[in-house]
Amino acid sequence: MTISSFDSLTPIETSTSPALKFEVLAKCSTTKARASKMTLPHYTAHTPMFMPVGTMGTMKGVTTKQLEALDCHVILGNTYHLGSRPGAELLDKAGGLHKFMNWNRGLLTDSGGFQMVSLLKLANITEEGVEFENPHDGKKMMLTPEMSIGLQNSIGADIMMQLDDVVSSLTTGARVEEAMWRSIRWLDRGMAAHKRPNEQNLFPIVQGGLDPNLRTISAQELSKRDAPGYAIGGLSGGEAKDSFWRMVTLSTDVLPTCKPRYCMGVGYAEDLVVCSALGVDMYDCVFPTRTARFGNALVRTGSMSLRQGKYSDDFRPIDEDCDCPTCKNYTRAYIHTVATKETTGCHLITIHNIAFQMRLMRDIRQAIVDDRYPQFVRSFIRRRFGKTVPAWVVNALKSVNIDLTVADEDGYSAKPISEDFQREPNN
Amino acid sequence: MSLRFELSMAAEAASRHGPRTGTLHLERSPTDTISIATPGFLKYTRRGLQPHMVREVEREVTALSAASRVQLEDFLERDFPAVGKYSEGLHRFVHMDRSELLLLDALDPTVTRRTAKATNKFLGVDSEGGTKRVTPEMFVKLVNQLKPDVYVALADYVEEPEPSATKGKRIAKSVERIGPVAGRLREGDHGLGPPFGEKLALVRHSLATLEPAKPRYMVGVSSPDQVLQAIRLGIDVFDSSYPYAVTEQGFASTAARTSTCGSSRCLTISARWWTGCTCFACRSHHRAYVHHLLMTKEMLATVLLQIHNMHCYNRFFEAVRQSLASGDFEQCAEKFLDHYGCMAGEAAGAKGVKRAFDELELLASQANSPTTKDPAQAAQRGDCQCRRLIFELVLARAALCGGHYFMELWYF
Ligand SMILES: [Zn+2]
Ligand SMILES: [Zn+2]
Repeated sequence: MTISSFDSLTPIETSTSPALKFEVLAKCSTTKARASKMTLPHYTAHTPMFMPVGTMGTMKGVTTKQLEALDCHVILGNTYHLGSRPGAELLDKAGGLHKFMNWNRGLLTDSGGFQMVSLLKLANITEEGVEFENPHDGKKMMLTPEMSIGLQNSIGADIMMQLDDVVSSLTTGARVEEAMWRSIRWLDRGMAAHKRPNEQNLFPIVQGGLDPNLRTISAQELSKRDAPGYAIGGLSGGEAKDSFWRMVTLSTDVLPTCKPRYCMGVGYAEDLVVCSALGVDMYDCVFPTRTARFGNALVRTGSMSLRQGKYSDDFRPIDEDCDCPTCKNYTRAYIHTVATKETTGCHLITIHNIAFQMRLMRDIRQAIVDDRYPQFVRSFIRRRFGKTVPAWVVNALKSVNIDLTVADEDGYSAKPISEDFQREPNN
Repeated sequence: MSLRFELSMAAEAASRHGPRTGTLHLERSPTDTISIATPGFLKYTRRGLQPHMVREVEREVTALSAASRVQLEDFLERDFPAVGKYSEGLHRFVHMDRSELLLLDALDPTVTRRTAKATNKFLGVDSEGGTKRVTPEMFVKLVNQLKPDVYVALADYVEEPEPSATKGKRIAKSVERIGPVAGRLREGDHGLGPPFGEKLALVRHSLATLEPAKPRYMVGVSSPDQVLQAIRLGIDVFDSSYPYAVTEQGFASTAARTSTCGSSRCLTISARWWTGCTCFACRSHHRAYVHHLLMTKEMLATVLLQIHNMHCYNRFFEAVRQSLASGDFEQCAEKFLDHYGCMAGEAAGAKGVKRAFDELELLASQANSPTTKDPAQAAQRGDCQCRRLIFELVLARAALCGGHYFMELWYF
């Protein structure tokens, strides 16, 4: 399932860190997109890549063997959850999460801070760290940058995230600036506490809310630290998409081009296509696997709610172009009968949704390698949205020289609309 | 297409009730023949797939029985099931390999309480879309369309009149409705009806009138103790609803068949799952990992448990066939039933001994999976007190049987 031409390409740019080698193999001649190879301690991943989320060290009933067959390169675990169950002690005994869950490819863990702030109402942030009430016994506890790194060292993921001072992307004013500077101080503390720099990579997180000045300062400060890679954080929290993409492109403009860039919490197909054009290399999102549980399958035109009665005698596969085991072997009618009723229904749709994301990323990489990414983007957008396209998509692509409002050789042009999302394509 | 049953002890079996070994041959064409050794089992499925196992996962269980049962009631969302419009047959619809024998039955043997009734004109079936009526004509039409290799004719069933009957004497008239379809026997009311001891008497009676050279399938009989007793009478085919019921209780079959993964004793990291088990789950994961999955209600827990439990169930039948071949079946069965104090149901009940293999009953009373995350459903499952009681009981029984293990009897 790998791109055969990938390994024969000569790197254009390379960065080498003790536990990560990043080689940019192809650059789009129109946009900021690039296709690269990222060598991690456990696996050599191809980017741009999507990383499915397995919060608890497992993903929706899919075995690690199936995840390999689905071409997953790196998967995500959540530090806050893994820290409470099974806990650092057991993970240390097991020799880390790779061995505990029997996954031999790449792993990435978050810092635990985001979960703490979003799950626990009583979290209180001080210079020391995130203070919170233990949900089990009500005692006050503290997660410091050092503790987050310690926990992530026990988990042993290939890539770790710094603890950052998380503020909602809707927050404005002095608090955003405070959080941006504090996150940098916490990064320095985390880097000092990191015990396994030769086996694990620590990624700093660009912060600064929706303020272009703060974002620029944050990205500049972090770039000075010579980290193995960088994350763009504090976004996809309900802000307007037109602000979102501007912060992404601003960050990729400042961050070093020879290092991987990871846009956190992003995973809708159109976001992946647009952000890759803006120069992002890595993504994660719970959406594809979470939506499977409710019977929704992802397709290039949007998503398909297989619980609906209209699928009960639809004997076509979910997606005729998909080569996943679900689409090769089952009809929509069959999946309709098992969706949300049997665990196997959830497994079948999860498998398809992961395969969907992975195939989209392979298509993106191939189009970049072949230097036909703009054409790929246009045909993707045409299929996904039809004639009217959310304005943020039009604006973002225009910023990297793809103007959807001008007709291409197939006669396709798009009209921007103000909505951020559009469910069904409009022809 | 032909179905042929070959008894290896033909002369003996023809003369009396008794354990027997044989091979069921399904010949679709001269070059396409499926052979199933008996005593054996049909894989229990839900909506055409084994519980928790998609096909790639199912393939991880090696040398598994090449026969499955599918129940029509799983597809009755509408008055006439949509699958009835599918032209490529049931095998293709549920993506079952053509090298597998597929048996179609109307009802799910694990469902023991039903509200819909049977009448002279139709079989009432409870479904999510309300009560559906399955008439014999409709059933035949579906059989013609779906082309199962074997099907069980529509039959009425007897149900206990009220829930309180579970503990006391059952009032239900023990009427057996036997549906011989092309020489195949359907026995035992889909798990409904009289207690097992009475059922065995009825089986004995029924078998006396049926042609001995034909295969006999006892629907819904699946727990190891009942299987052994039914084999003694000459039953050939069972189904794997038992390992599914074990999985749903969060148990894994072990030597003594009883290890609760939900207990903290699984928190050891040193050993792989169950020493000696060669199944995919045990080869790939620590017991502590499965414990973690159960504690966090992750779906992979039941996937791995089902893989392991099916592996053990498969080996149980292999061992039964081996002991029949080597002639020490009676001895082994006696020893086994003795250890577990489960002689013919009521006798054990009278002695105040809880049956060792009651997972199917538990399944009927709490059908929610251990990985259910819906708090209302989890509460309904009685997650706290009564569940812990079940665990303790099973663990205590394991201790009671100390040393004399299921696997020792059959595997070594
Ligand atoms: Zn698919
Ligand atoms: Zn096993």
